[in-house]
Amino acid sequence: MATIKVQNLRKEFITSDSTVVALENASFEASGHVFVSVVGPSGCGKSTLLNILSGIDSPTSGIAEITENGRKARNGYVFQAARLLPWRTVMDNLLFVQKNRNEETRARCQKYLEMVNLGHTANKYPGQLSGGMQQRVGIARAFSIEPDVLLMDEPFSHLDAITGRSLRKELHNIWVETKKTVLFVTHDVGEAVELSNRIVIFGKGGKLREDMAIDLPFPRDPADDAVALSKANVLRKFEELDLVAS
Amino acid sequence: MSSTAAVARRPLGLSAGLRRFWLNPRTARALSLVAFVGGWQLIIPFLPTELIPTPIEVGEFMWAELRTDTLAPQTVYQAFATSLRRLVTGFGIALLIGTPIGLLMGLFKRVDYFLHDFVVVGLAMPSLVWALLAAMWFGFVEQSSIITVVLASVTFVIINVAEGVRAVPKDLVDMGKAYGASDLHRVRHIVFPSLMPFFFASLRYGLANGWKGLVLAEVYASTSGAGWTIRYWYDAHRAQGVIGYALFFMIFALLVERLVFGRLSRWVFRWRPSAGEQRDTRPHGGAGGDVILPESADADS
Repeated sequence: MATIKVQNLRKEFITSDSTVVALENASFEASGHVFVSVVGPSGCGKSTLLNILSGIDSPTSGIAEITENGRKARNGYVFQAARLLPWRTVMDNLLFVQKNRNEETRARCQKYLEMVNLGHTANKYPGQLSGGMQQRVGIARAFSIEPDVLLMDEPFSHLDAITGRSLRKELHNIWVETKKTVLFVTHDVGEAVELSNRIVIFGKGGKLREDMAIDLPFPRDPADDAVALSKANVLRKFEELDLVAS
Repeated sequence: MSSTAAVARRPLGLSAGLRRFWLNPRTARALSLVAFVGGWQLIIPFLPTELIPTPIEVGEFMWAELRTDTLAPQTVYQAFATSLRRLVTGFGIALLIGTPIGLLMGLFKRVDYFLHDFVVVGLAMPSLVWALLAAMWFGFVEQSSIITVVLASVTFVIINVAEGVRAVPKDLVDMGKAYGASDLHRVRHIVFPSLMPFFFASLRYGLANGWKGLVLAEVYASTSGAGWTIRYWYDAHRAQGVIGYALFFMIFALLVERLVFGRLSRWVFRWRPSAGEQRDTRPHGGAGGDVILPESADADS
């Protein structure tokens, strides 16, 4: 079972004339088959948190680690933009993140491409695909390493409403099927309520302000009364915490 | 096209094929070339000089050269082979010197501040100056030509490598890091391919400028090569030799561009979406085709 552990995490960025605190004293834990959304206004350190957990950045102080039964976990990362290598085919993009490149790995990559309905694009270059398809390749890449934990940084925010909606459905089905731990960063409260069983709210200056459970049955339709009410509750929480348009 | 335009053109009496031929941009280009060569041939008899050859004389000279029937000590093949060897050697040295300097300038701001002005001066320096200096310092030896090529092309290598290093896509490098790719793996699959457009730019401009420098160096400080052969025909007061060799240069440059660079860059950049294959960033674009269809089908479900 995978565990995400964040304890007294602090991250400063030192520029030539000032020090910016991106995260301050953040602590939370998540493990097992959960879908945790991290929401908050822009500049609250959401993306920094994922970058530290994935090893792109290092913390100034505190602990941020992901473990699977005591050892270091394997993470899949889906970015805001697809971040595919434009000079490699779709299949080679998936193979790029694999430990080895044998027939078995290749078959596994093909399987995850088919999971996002893109099995026929294996030999295409990313430039030949639409934005939504590229993002799905990014999702297939994250799953193709059979990760213990999935980190997602606003993966649908660059897409139009219809494509975003169909990908959210796809992601939910895959999460149910694979039983992964997912940490999902978003600024869209509706999206967070639709997908997650837990929402963590960060405020300005990277402080963790609220940690709430969303106990509603899946699948959730945004038009459903209970889901809409839950979304309204989270938004009210935002107002109480004075996080709106500050 | 509107039907009125088609009707209006009918009285000309041109068949559709002939009209398409007439409207083709290539026809206009070919006509301009024919008019130039024809005008040249016609005007020469009226000029009070013996030193301007007719196109036919230039053509005869070039044909004789190609059959190795020449008065010069070197045939056209030997002359170009000599020059090409010097060019490749000189540009190879420029790559060896320029690549590490460019890497340092791209990676470290301080090195960039330190060297930037010298590189800009080097880019602007006429190749003639390098050729004359090399001739003065080293005299009539092989090295003068090669050193001129190095000096004339190295700054193009430096500036392009430096720009290329600064343009390495950080988001892709971070992606590699997040997935635990090794440094070597990232350099090979992310940094190196992203440098390719800059490598091609340095190849094109560096070789072109190096070639110009080389010809001048051969005129002033050599006893062989294509530049020297031009000098030979100049001394012999044979203008068709000078013009003929200039045309050989153009043909040579076109062949290298089409056969080597054109093919190489088409292969290296085969991943770039071609004009014919419409890239569609919206899921419901009208482009259709087998690439876009599954996307629309999903969105409907």
